[in-house]
Amino acid sequence: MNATRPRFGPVRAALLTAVLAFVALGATAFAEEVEEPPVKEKSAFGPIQKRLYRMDHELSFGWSYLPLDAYYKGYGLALSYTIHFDHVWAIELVRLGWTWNVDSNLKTKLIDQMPDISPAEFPAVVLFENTNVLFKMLYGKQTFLNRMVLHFELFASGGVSLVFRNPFNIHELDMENSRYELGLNLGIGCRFWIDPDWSLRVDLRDTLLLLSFNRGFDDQLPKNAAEIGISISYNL
Amino acid sequence: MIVSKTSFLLAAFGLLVWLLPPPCSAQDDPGTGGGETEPKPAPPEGGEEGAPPPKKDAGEKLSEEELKELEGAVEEEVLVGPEVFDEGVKLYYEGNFVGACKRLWDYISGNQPGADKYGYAEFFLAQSLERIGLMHAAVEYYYNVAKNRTKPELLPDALSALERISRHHPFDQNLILHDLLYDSTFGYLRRDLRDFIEYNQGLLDYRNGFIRWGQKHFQSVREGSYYGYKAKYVEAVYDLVKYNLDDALKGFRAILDSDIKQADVINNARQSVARILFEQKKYKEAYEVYETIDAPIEKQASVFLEEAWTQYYLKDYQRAMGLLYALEAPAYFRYFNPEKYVLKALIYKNLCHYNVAKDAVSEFYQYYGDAIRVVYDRVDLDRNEILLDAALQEPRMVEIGRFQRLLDTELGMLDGFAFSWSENGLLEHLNRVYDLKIKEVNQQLRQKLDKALREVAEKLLLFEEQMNLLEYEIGLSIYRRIKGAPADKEEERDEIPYYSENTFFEFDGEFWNDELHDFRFYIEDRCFSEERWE
Amino acid sequence: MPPRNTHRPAGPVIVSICMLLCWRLPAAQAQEEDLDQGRVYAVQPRAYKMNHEFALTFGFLPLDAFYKMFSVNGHYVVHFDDLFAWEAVHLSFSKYLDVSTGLKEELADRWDTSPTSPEEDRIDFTLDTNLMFKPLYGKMALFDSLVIHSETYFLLGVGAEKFETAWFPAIDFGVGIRIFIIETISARLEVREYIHFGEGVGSTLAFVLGFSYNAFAEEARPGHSLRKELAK
Repeated sequence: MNATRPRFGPVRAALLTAVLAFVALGATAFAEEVEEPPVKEKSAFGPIQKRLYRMDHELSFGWSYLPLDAYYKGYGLALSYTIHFDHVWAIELVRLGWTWNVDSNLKTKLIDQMPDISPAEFPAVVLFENTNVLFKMLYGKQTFLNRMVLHFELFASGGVSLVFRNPFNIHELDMENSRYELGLNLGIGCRFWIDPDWSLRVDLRDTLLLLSFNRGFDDQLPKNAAEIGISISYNL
Repeated sequence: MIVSKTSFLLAAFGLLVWLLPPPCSAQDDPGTGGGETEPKPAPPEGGEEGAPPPKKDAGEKLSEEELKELEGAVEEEVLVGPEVFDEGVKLYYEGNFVGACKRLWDYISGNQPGADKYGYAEFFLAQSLERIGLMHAAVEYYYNVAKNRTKPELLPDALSALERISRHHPFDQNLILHDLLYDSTFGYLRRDLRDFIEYNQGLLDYRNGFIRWGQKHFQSVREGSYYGYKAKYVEAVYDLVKYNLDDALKGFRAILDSDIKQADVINNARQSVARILFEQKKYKEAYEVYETIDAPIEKQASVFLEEAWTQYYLKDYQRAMGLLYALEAPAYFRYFNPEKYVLKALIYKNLCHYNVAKDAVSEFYQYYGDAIRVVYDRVDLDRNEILLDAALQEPRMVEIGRFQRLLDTELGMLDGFAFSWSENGLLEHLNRVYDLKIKEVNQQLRQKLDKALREVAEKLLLFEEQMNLLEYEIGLSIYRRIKGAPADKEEERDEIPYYSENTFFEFDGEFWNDELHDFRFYIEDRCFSEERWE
Repeated sequence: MPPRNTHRPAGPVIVSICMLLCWRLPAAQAQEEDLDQGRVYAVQPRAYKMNHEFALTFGFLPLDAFYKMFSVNGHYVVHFDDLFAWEAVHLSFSKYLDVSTGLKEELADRWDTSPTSPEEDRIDFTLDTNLMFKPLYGKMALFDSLVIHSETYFLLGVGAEKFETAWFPAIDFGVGIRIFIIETISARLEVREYIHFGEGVGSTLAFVLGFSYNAFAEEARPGHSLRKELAK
């Protein structure tokens, strides 16, 4: 025994008794709480034990369409590389696109009817690069007339975009009126699997152009550029 | 009938072995082969996977000192004042469990077990360790509190904690069930704790063959309590093992008719009822009961197999084969299931698809051929991966394996506390406690592995015999057909509608859990006029 | 003059899906011939069946250069069976629900010009009736944890569009997905393309999202409530 140790005083004894009573009560309550285990036992598996289709490194190539600009409609091609981390998250590391712009009736009319309007005043998206995070919310399958099972997933995408805008198409670029811009992307998309390696991907995304690297924030910004993309993907 | 009998014997065996695991296995599905999908326990220490277990070595037995340390009875000469204990308790209530452990260990290691607050210190240390997630260490100290009873007022709380841990985690059964609950007498205790103790004492009596004593203990368990139902379940299983089917059925039905809410007990009882009904040849009723089982999908391998047999006897081969396909799901990858091939071959044969039936026999040999050769060659059974894997799936092995994994995990967790606990020796102490326990568990695994391997080998040979018989029968049927049967017939083909009340998802290798019970196998019936083989 | 919009982005999407189906269908047919090898199906009762559907949806019509239009839509659909339904009435109200894109102001500010009555291109109402074909039914795992059921449908119909100037006859087609929430409530997301005829041909694209109430749901599944009772 330690002779110097203070004796167990009445106050402290009362305090400890109270504490222990509290502990005992707490433990009893805890015991009662676990008295009724969950009615349904939990499974270690989610709804799908084994997915037939899963992506790892995805390379996709397809057609893109930029329909929203009043002065032109863009028809282009896009190539992208996406890394899929798991069933829910992926990163579209790079999506490079080139667009061939066709003047809208409005632009043609403006230029025809107003001689002081120069074509150089209508910069259009010519090249773009997207880097997006993909959030794959839904994975599912549907049976087509009980004959064929179609597997698909729905995802949301969000990220940044670098855009090169120019009033003219790629073969006749007017570098004096070029714009190098940064924007934010937001979109949704879906994928239909053809087989474990090949899939068809549809993307709807909107880019909000916020800043021009070479012109700052001018009256042409912010600007929307919506894109519809349909591409064929290969799982590397 | 061979198959039916075999199936029943296996089922009864499954139930019997359920008697072995302790209450913690209530979370498993004892009746379904207990954790058939549990991850594989690591091979016993000192041997690589596939290597034979080292022979029992007297030198490996734990020394007196080691055993003493396992019980936490560490005696140090240095005395530490009660303010250290107070500080530990304060930290505990502040939620700083790591700090609490540190100070409480300072107190414990600095005092004799007879010290004034030694019991309290052990109790709070156990609580803190439990909160941190070091369950085994917590059990060791709860055990000390309950066994030594230096502070009898803490006994209910310590027992309560042990009951809680035993339900949800693997734990040291020898220590708690045998050393503490079975060998000790307790004074007056709360009703729920008495149920816990009486149930376990009764269970161990049943295991040891002292049935009357076991019944006496079970009579003391409150009816309607969790352990009351478990006691009833054990009694019904005993009836089943004794082949008193009607009594067993009555027992299980009583459990199901009660207002019990524990899913594990309900599902075990349902499966047992279905097994008895199957044995009584009431296949339709058996199937209906099987379909009510709502256990987690990974615990349903035996349900699928038994249900497939039921459907086979109901002559619904579409459904029977569908259920066998469900057994291909990844969750059942490790499920030792040679019976699947027997049933598969039987179904094909009954549909007169003789070539595919023969393929099923070949498939059996392809998968289990090496294992059978190892048995015939009398080579060390554990050298074969399939046999070793199957043996490790035996319920008792799974139970020990789970405990071994818990120890490994918690030992790994200790490194995370090195900064706080290395200075005062707690880390070293706990490392030693876990090391010693792992050694002991590995020893147990080695001892039981031999027996389990022999049982698996015998089971496999039994199925091999059935496969040989079946192969012969298939050959005979082919010969009969060649000799006399008509060569052509109108096909009875099941058409799949373009749309209907049901949705048809063609199976393409993707396993959705909600579909596993709904697989149907579509194949034409090629039998002409010959009798189906029974 | 009827408004013109010759861009039909919904077309390629629908064509792609159809191509995908056509691509895989022959394989499915071939498989059917292999039935003697045996095939496995997961045969599950349809979890949801529609009967009389009343839907309230909201639309977005993005393709007009001067105005982005929104719409509030009401639908009544009679579901004959699991494959066919008739969207007896689809009334879309867009009047006053327009947001200027700023193009008009831009033209005035930058070039001191103004287009001739772009307001005329604004849609006030759409009224149409459609055949609904629902060949795809299935399920999805939400966040890899929860199973929800869905069906995909195609629409083809006739109707009329009311612009500021007049009503114009129109045909429409579309594709949509319905996500079943409970037996009586489902969410539907669809894309519709209207092609209207007047002095010329023009088109309107609408993205639509909304909720449906499935009236008399129990009647669509005779025996379902009994089964539920028995299950209990």
